[in-house]
Amino acid sequence: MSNAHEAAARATVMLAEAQVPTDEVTPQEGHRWGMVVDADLCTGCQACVVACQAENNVALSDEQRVLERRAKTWIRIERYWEGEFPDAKPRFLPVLCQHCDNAPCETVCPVFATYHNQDGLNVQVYNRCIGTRFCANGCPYSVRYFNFWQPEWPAPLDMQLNPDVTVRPKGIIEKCTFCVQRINKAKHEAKRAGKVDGRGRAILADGDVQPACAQSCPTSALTFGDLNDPASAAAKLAQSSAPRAYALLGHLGTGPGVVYLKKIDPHAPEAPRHG
Amino acid sequence: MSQVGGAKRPARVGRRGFLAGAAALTSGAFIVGCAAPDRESQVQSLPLSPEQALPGQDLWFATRSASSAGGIGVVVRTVDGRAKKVEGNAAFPVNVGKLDARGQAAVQTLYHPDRLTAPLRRTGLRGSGKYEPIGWDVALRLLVGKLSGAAGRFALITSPLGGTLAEVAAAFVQGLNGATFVYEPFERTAYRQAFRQVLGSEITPYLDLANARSVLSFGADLLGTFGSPVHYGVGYGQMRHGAGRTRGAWIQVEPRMSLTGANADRWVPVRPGQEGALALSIAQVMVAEGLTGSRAWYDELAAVGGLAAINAYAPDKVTERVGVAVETIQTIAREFAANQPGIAIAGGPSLAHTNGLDVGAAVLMLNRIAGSVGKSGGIRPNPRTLAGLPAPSAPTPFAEFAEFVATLRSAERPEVLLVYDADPAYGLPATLQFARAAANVPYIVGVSTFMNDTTGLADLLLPATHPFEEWGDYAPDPAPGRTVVGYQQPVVTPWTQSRSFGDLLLEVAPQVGVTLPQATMLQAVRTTAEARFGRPNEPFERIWIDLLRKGGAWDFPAPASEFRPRADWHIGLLAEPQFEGDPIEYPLHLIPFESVGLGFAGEAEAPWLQATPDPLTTVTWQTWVELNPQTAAGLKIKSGDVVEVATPTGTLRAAAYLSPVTPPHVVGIPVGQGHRHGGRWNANRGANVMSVLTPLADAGTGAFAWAATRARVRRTGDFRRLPTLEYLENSRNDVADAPVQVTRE
Repeated sequence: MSNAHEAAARATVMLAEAQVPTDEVTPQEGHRWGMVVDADLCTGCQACVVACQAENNVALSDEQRVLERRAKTWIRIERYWEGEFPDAKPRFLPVLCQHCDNAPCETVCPVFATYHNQDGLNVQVYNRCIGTRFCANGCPYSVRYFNFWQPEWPAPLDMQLNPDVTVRPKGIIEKCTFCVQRINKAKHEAKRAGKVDGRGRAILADGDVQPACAQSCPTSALTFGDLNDPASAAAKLAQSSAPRAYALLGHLGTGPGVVYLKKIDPHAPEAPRHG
Repeated sequence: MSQVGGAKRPARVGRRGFLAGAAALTSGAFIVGCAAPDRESQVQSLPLSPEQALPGQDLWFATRSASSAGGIGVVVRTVDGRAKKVEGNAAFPVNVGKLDARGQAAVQTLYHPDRLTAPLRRTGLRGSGKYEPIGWDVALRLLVGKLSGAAGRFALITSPLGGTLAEVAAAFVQGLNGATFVYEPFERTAYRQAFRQVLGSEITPYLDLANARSVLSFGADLLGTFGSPVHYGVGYGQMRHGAGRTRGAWIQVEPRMSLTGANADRWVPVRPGQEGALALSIAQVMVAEGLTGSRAWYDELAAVGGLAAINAYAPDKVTERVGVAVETIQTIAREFAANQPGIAIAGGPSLAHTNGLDVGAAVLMLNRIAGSVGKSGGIRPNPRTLAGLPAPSAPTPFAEFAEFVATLRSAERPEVLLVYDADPAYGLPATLQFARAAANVPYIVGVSTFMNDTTGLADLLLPATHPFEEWGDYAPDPAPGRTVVGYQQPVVTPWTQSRSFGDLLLEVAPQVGVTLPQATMLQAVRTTAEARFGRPNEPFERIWIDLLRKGGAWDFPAPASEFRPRADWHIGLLAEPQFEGDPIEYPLHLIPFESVGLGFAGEAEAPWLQATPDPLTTVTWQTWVELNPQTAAGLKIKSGDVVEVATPTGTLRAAAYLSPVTPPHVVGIPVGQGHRHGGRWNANRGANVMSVLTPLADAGTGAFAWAATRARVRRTGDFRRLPTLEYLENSRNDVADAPVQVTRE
């Protein structure tokens, strides 16, 4: 894996040992969209990867792009090896934008193309981005992708493009949005249905919004929801699985909105060390 | 719809019917197919003015997943008549809203720029790929003319078909007094026959993973590529962390680590072909230690020759043969017995040997000894499928298919060969020389969405609709322990001049003297549905719309099904697996496998799936050769070295990948690449491992023993950087770390 990924793996181990409490997520008014990733359920099947690309108009990555390390996948399944044959074990870890409370990418952007919105999302404004790539350098999770080339969809492949999602041109950064278009649509529909609070804000029930990755996952390894809502499935899962919960590279103090649950290895010679 | 090529398109539910359905819609509901009046389609081009277009509003259609295995229900989001996104149908019992990578990528095969768009007539030599476009009127005249003179000398090769389409195809072939050959590359014949032999089940049983406390799988990649992976994935999630459940245990025994093995709590590498011996050894431990859960266990043992016979498989007697330590065998037996109800199942490479049926039967016997058969959390019978709506047809066993290929060279060959959705020229071992044999057939007709290695031999190529463009019905295989039937409807207007295979047969049938009861697939599917779900004194239209809106029907009464264990089944002493080639000259076992992204044909067309990293190696876009690092070190091979893999019947070249989970005596190669014909993203890419396999068959079923090939590997001196997600260790770093181009002209 890359140096960054190795660092992520090391930090994962550190965090697994440190057991960072999940209440480090900053409480705030309104929504705090987040995700719980259960490494004990992720089989590495890649359904989430393709679902994300289909939903978000992620550019095709041909063989050359992969060789150049320019392939784009807003969510990727990292695979780590543990042990040697015959006891070698692969470990899978879905990695996506962590939507950090203290996002290192936000502070380095000279044009405020990336910022934190009222729902706890780390947002990328494509029209503002001037392509400095400072944010990608600042992101410890390597989940920001630069468009080195103009994306192409040979006709009629472009018929599939999602009209709700901007096609990003050459020269700007893109990344996971937690399918913000779905969040906005759900809010819009809630308002149309009169589901608003006293301040006119849309009221969304738990499960009204699912990003494409979580929706597709056959084993339900990804649980999306409002971490500010203690009754949400995501918040309850993070709470009930607290002994397994950790933050990826949490020692950096980024305050991720993604909570990882450690892999369970009943035959490990010692306590599980890896998520 | 407008007419294409002078022939009428299938009738659709009319605008009035659509409005009736739409009126009942609430947000997020699914609607049924409909059609705009012909005049509306004629004033604007089809892509710009598709049917069902409600500008600014997305519409969702329930249908069948185009690429997922097993029969998965999906909903397709369309905007302005174009399919945008495929998602699992949350109401469909098989997958409850979940969907795999292949199913997601179906929009790419739907809108693939290299789809066959019009009928083609061959102009060059066979296999040259030279064709000229012709109209459907000319194509149909050619087809009818050839078929009219081919009664009794006609053969159809298809993938396993199910539902009404299978009935239509069977009736068509019967009417022409022809023969049907069902081609499935990694055929599951031994899997099905083992159920029949041990449990007396003609229907693929339900594996109740959700309630199982343990799973002991011999080679069945249930979470990756075997059977119905989405369905099994849902069960796996519940088994591990379902509400109120203790986390179930998973033991995977196999010659090469699959995706399922990667997720098992205990992964046990076994020598290829010795899985049955290991299963009997586990049974011996269970019996000897009194771990049986069934009082009838002694009867079970009678099937393998009784207690004395099974004692021949005591762990200390087989440990060397199976390559598994005595303690490990005992541990597996104790864990499996202690965590009941459980499921013992065999599949994939463990059954792809010359003793495949014996292996399958031996493994299934563990369920009976453990006493979990038919219980919650065990292997349970599935209900029968509807009359007239069969589950996918069983494949023609390899041995029989090989005979058919030999027939193509003889005077008994068919005059006309019709190939639909199957690619035996790609999947059969090269030694069978399918293409050369097919050259003797006077006329070959291919019906396909894409050019492939078999349709590339055709004299007449007819573009088939994508599954999102056609009517159909299906019985999921396996069913989820409940009665389920799924319905498939067009979700978009075809942008090519394609026709569904069923409609083609129904249209051609009366012209070649075959009488079929319906004229279109819509009529045929609807008639089957009305026979089952129609109610007296109620218009069927309303019921039909409801079936389409939901994507099917489930939990309806059906004839009871139960296991009828056969008293006469007997595997005796397990046959030793046979391999071709001298073990000294060919010291490695070649295990071909499917990756989760690429299947054998259609999936490889989609760039998303080509770019989907193999979960274990993270390789994309290419063929790779998995080797154990120590084995590779002995051969002075590093990751990225181009190696030559030689078997007794052929050679291929691909880059090596050093995998710490590959056993030292195994070489693993994925299928899916190495197509001669195809689209821009899959033709002439990588190598075809199927071509170098030795043509051995299971003695019990005639199924292809595709895991029974020996091989040797040597370094060629060439190097090819593997397109991986990870940075490769044990690679030739001077090349792997070369600077990459940052900008491009």
